[in-house]
Order: sequence, then structure tokens, then C-alpha cells
Amino acid sequence: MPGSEQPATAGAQTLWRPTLLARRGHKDVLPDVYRRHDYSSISIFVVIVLAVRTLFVSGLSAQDSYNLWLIYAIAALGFYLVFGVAGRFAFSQTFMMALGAYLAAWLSKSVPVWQAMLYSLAISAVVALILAVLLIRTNEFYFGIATLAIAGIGTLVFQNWTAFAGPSGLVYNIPSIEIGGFVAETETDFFWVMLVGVVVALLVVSLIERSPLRREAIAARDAPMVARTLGIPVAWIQVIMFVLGSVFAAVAGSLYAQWQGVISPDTFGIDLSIGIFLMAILGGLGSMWGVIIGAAFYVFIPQYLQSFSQYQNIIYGGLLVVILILLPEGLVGIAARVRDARRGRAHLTTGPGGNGGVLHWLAEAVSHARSSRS
Amino acid sequence: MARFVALFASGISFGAIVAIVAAGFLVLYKATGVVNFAHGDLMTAGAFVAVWSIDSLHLPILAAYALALVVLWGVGMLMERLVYAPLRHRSMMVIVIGTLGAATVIRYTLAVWQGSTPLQLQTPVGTDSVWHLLGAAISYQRTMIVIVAAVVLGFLYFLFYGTSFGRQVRALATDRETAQLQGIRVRRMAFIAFGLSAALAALAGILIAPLSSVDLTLGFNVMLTAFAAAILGGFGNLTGVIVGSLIIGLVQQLVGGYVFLAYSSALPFVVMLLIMVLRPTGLFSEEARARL
Repeated sequence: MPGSEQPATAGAQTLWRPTLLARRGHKDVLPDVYRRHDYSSISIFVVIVLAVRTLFVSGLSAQDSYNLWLIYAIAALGFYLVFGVAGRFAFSQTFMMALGAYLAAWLSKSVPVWQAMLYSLAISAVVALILAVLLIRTNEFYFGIATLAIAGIGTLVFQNWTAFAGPSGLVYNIPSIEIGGFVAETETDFFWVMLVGVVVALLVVSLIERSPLRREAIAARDAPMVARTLGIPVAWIQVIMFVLGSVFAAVAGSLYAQWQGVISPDTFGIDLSIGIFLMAILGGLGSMWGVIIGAAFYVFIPQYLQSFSQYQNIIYGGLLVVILILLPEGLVGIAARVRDARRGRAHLTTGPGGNGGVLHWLAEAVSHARSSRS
Repeated sequence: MARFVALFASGISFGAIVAIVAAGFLVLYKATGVVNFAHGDLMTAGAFVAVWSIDSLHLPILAAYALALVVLWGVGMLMERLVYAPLRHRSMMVIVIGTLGAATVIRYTLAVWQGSTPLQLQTPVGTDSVWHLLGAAISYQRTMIVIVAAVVLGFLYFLFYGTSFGRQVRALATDRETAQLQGIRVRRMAFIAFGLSAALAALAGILIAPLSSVDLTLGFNVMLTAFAAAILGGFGNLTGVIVGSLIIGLVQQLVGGYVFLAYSSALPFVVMLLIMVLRPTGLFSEEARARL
């Protein structure tokens, strides 16, 4: 797509128009975001998760990967905020997972587990804030490379700081979650804990989605100059989104530590970093549901490709490239373009670089079918 | 004193390796604007191909090295065809994620092909032979690294500033659209730049491999260090990158050797973060780079 700036600017204008309309006194014309019913879609999601679990998930390993999916979904939702909404090219998501996990493990030696988790989140948030403020002037690749370096330093620290992380970063016997009288012991117990985690994460993201923060972040991502002239504090919005997303990762990490009881630096290595990119790109960055589907794909598809397990990572890497090539500007681009051309408006890209992913493509297909019927 | 000389020498030789890697980045970045996250894995691939040529094809060492460079040149061009060419009109972020995908594919293809046991790469000067300077033992391998790096970087200077190819690359780096309007064949330049860049990565991999062992993570940390060097040098010109690489190499070996032994490989990252925080345009930047 030559001139990718053009639709981006168009996007910023389209995003701002509803607010202006509403301000002029058209009280009955509420902008899209305020008419969304996210609570019902989250409820439907919970019902689907429970139904699928009852119908299809049996056996320890299936429950194990079901839980893993929910954990990755939390981390990926955070990444959606950082990368999808704010457009920050961050490799630090797995580092923040590791930080949350190691802090929770270390703190739970001295305080009750739920306090350890809370403190771990607070410290992770502070660390994320410091990093984000330090890197406030860097953009795109510089930010990506900087966060990659932070992840590298983090891995070394976890490996070498024996007093904090144990020999070679291996921590065993991390105590299980304990809230009130409830102690999570079995896979089922952890399933409930993680389901609560995902639902809370979804609620937070959906509240952000309908707040001005999301629109401002997208404007800051796609057209920083325009956003600045509109009075949006571009840098600070990116800091806020980075900290929020990092806290999500820390939650996922500390849950992982308590669930598995053992962590090592490899658990949160570069492969998972690329995996999180894959979840986001595959699922699509057009909405928060994309990363949920992406995470499901990342966890469940390998189970059906057992015989290819040694090629798993090759397939992931190849898939990342293929999806980048085919989905956004291929099928999605065509579907969205056709629809937008019919309605006579500019083509609007979703996500950084116009990546809508599978979910976006489905939505486009449905709305296309509807509009051609009427 | 002997310890200082030894650390200084290994700092210079590590800096020389990093300079080759960073120059590989620079060639690609100048010609296409792409920052290639697969560069480290191309390094690893170069070392693996060299080991395989010696152990399985029973080639002489230098012939094996040459074969590895040629193969990696081809891999680079293949990568251009499969990853860059289909994505070249998309945003830079998308292309960079594409190179991440390529990095994963390369790394795990190597894993399937050669397994994850560390291998040893032979060298024409022998791994254990040393000479002495002021009481410090300096290995011939490290000496060879510095000489090869000097020759290769000299060649790159000639290529950048003395040939038509170099003028075209610099024109592309200055203004892609105008360069294209002037008739520079952008696609062919990208094709060559990917090949050259991958071959430089392979050379660095081959040179550094005999110092330790060949495994799947060989290239990754060096790549990050080279990022650090390139950023220190301003990501703009060859001189800046070479100076940046030597500084990074010396900092890592001297500061790491005397003070932070366990964390020495984190030092380049720390230097890089400091540069980014304090002077995001690099120490030696000539041009305003709004593009990055």
C-alpha cells in the first residue's frame, strides 16, 4: 500500500468526528464506543469458555493447555494495549512476565501469597513506569531494540543473581495461590483463578476501549503530529499504555509461577516473545478479542500437529511471515476496501501497519454480507 | 599490566567482530531502510554451514569458510525474495516483524538440521596457538579477526565511497523516492544488499565461532551488541559504527573483566540504553534521522 500515512490520517479524522458531533449537542447521536455492549460479549465469552471446557477438555494435559491459554491471553491482552493500541514495538512483554513471576516467587517466601502477588504487581508497575519514562524519547525500532536489550539484561540478572532468583534462575516450590480459605491445588482450581484473571483483564481493556484513552492512543499511534496539534499528550499516553500492558504481563507471569511451582529464565525466553507477536498478528489487532483467539491458536494448534512437533517453531515463524503477507493487505484489505469503496469512504486500517488479522477479516465478511443483502 | 593488555586485545578483537556485524546491518539499513532482526541467526547459520562443510563434506577449512559465505549470500537473497519483497510497500514495523519470523525459521531449521549440541569450528590458525605481547598471551585467532575485519571494513569503505554501487546505496539512504526517480533500481539494490549483509553476518559468525562453540544462540547476543554499537555510532555512517563497535568491545572486556564479571555481556545493553536515554540520535550522528 503506497503511502500508508494517508489512511492513517483518515483514521484519526474519523475517530475524532463522533466526539465533535456529540459536543455540538447531538445528544441522541452517541458515538459508537459508548453504544458498545462489552459486558454482554464478555459474558458470552465466559459461557463459551465454560461450555468448551465441559464438552471438550478432559484429561490433565488438555486442562493444562487450557489454563496456559488463559495465562497467555492475559499477557497478550497487555501486549494488545502496548502494541495494538499504542503502537509501541515492545519486546519487554516476556521480561515483565518473568519479573512478575520472580518477584512473586521471591516475595512469597516472606509474606502470604496474595500479598506477594500484589507487591509483585506494584513493583512491576513501577519498573515499567521507570523504563517507559526513560525511553520516552525513543520511537519505533529504537524502542524495540531498547526493550530487547532490557529483556536481555533481565535474563542475565535472573540467571546470575542467586540470592533473588536461585541458582541459574531456577526457582522451585513456589507456593500456590491462597485467597481467604481457598487454596488452588488442582488444575481445576487454577482454571477458576485464571478465568477470573482473564475476565478482569477483559473488563479493564473494555473500559479502556470505550474511554477516550483508546481513541487518543490510536490517534497518537497513527498520526502523532495531528494528535499533538489536537492537544493529546502523545508520549504520556504511550507511557500509560506501556505500564498497563506490562502489569498485565506481570499478572500472567506471577499466575504462571504459582500454577507451575517452578520457573526458569527460559520459560520467558525470546521464543515466547515472538509467540506473543504471533498471537497478536494472527488474531488481529483490530479488537481485544483478536489476541484471545491468537493465544488459543498458539497454544492449541501444536497439539494437533504432534507429529510435526520438531518443526513447530519453524511453522510459527513461517506463519508469522505468511500472515503478514496475506491477511492484512490481501484478503482483509480487499474485503475492507470493497466495502469502504461501496460506502464511499476512505479505507480505514486497524492496528499498526493495518493488521486486522483473522477476526477483523471475519467481521468484514459479515458486514459485507449484510450490506449486500439490504 | 599483562591482564590489561590481554583484556584490551580481546576488547579490540570483539569490537572488530561487532564492527563486521554492525556493518552488515548498515549495508542493509542504508539500501532498504530495514533493520534486520534475523541478522544474528544468519551469523549462527554461517557458523553452522562452515562446521558442516568441514565435518561432513571434508572440505579444507578455507574452502568451507568460502562455501559458508556463498551459501549465506544465497540465504540472504532468498530472504529478500520471500520476506522483504512481498512486504516492501508496507510499514517498516510490519517488515521488521517479518524479519523476526525469518529469524525463527532460520534458527529452528538449524536446530532440526544439526541438533542443539554445541559444535566446534576449526580455524586455519589453530584454536590454542598464542603469541605474547608484554607478558599477555594473545591468540592467533583474535589477531586474525582484527586483520580480517580491517580488510573487510576497508573493502566496505571502498564499496561505499568509491563505487557506483556505494553511491546508489548512499542515494537510497538519503532519499528513496528521489533515488528511484533518478533511475536507481531499488529492487535490485535490495536484492544485492540482503545478500551482502547476510554474507557479512556469516563472516562474523565464522570468525567468532572458534573462540567458543557453535550453538543456536551464537548470533543473538552479538546481534544485540552490534545494535548497541550501531546506535552508539548513530546508525548513519561506517566510521561511526566502527568507532562505536570498538568502544562497545573495549567497555565490555575492560569493565566486564575488572568489575562486573558475571554481567559483562549485559554491559553493551547498558551502554546502549544510556545512549538512548541521554542522546537518542547516537554519539556520531551526522544526519537528522526522522526515519528511525
